[in-house]
Amino acid sequence: MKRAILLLPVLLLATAAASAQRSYASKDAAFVDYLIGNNMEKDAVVLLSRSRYHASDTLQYLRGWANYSAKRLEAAAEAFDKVPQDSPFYDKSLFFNVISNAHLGNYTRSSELLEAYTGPYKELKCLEQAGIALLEDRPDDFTAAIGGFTFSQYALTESERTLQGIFNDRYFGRSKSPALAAAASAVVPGLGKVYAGELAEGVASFVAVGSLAAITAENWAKHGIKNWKTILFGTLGAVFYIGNIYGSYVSVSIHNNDLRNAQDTAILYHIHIPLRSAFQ
Amino acid sequence: MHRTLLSFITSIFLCAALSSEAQERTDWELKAVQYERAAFDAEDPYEAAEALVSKAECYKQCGRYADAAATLGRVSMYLLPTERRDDVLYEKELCCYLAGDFDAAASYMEEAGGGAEPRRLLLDALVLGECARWDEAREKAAGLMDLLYDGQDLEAADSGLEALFSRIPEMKTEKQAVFRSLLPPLGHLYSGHLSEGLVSLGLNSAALGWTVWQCVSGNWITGLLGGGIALNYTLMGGMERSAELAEQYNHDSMRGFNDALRTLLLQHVPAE
Repeated sequence: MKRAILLLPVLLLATAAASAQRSYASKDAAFVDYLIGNNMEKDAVVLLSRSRYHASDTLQYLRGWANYSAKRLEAAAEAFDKVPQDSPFYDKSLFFNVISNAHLGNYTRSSELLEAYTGPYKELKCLEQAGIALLEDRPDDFTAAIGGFTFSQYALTESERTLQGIFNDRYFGRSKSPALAAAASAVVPGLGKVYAGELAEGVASFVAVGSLAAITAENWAKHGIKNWKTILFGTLGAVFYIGNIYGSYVSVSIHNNDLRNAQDTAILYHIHIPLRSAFQ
Repeated sequence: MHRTLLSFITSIFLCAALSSEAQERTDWELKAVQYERAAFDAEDPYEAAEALVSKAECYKQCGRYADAAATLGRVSMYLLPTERRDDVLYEKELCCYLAGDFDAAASYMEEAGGGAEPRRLLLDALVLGECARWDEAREKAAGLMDLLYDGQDLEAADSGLEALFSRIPEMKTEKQAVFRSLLPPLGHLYSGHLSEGLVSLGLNSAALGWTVWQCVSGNWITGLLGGGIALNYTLMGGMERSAELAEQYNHDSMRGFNDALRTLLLQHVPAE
């Protein structure tokens, strides 16, 4: 009995030691890079989230990087947030954290992160700030941020120029007017859709409204205004005519939204590409 | 008494210590990564190939069949001995079949060159069925029955197969469906949808009737434009719908036949 009681703490210690078998994430860094580089990002996420590692900045950075590569941006941002400022991975983690948050639509968080950054990548910081300002529709902040552009760093120049081009298009370029499209369709059915860039839809609208108008006119001329066919086709024609005016208005609004989305995608792309070169 | 107590306590602690390891054992995704690491660290290419085969097995266990097939695709087949190569080819075919990539499964089947084991014949018959290669599927299924049975049992199994293969689905072509739908309701009837065809016939007749009536009454614009627009919708719509119905018919017929084939064959093959 005494031996059994003596053995108890020994077994307890042995169990604790067995369960505490942890390793350092830095040991697996090369393997994680291999997984990510060979399109096995999901495997890298599984390895880093389910294996036992000692808590470290390397572990958080690798988790962030694996999740970012696997397009799990929320988890990536969460892990990058935990990389401390004195870590050698801090700069890279911060900028990829900014990108993760920007892709998630958390522009305010991206701006906060950049605001707090005092590291060596000053021009890159300006580029990111300019991009986030454009995404957030803050033209004044964009203008302030491009003060830091030197157009002398090969990795940044193209992106800097593209962001400036998008800024000019967005704030000084001619955008299409939904009201003008509606007015055009009121004068010539379908013309508003042609203005919105939808030629086939414009022609189809013109044929439909024109046909209904022609049928109404024929019945009006032959049978009078009170004839049921005149009333039926006249009503249908009016509905199509008004619908086409509204449709033209909506088409241009959609066109403008699509253009804005395409610009936003281009901004996200151009604030991301330089990071690849900077942190290769 | 003391010894009993001692061994009792020891077993409790061993269970506790090993329970976490037991949990890991069921974490097939982590196991898969560990095998990938074994392949990464392997100095011998054969060892790496074997690790990848084991990784694919882990993916299979967690239902990621496409990933399993992709992993097996990375195995350097020339490194494996002939028997092992056949096993890996079988696994490739199986994973592609389970992932729904039947063309790839058929190509692995052809690469393996056919085998006479029940599991291979079964899989080949199922794959060929999914590829609508009915005669070959029937041949493989008959070969399977030959292996499993003899005498009266074989006759009974063969007659079951005969009964099933006498109902091989007849595939419809979309071109034929579209062509026939020029004369409603023939297009719909071709895919076995009479009631929908009658509705299409009614709509087309109404549009055509309107055109003729208005033209006879002297309302040429109303007849030709109004009727023309209506006919454009009813006839063209009917043609599109007929093509869609033919495609749906082919899908449903093949699914029904292949499900019946699988059920029949699995009744005869003992589970591994």
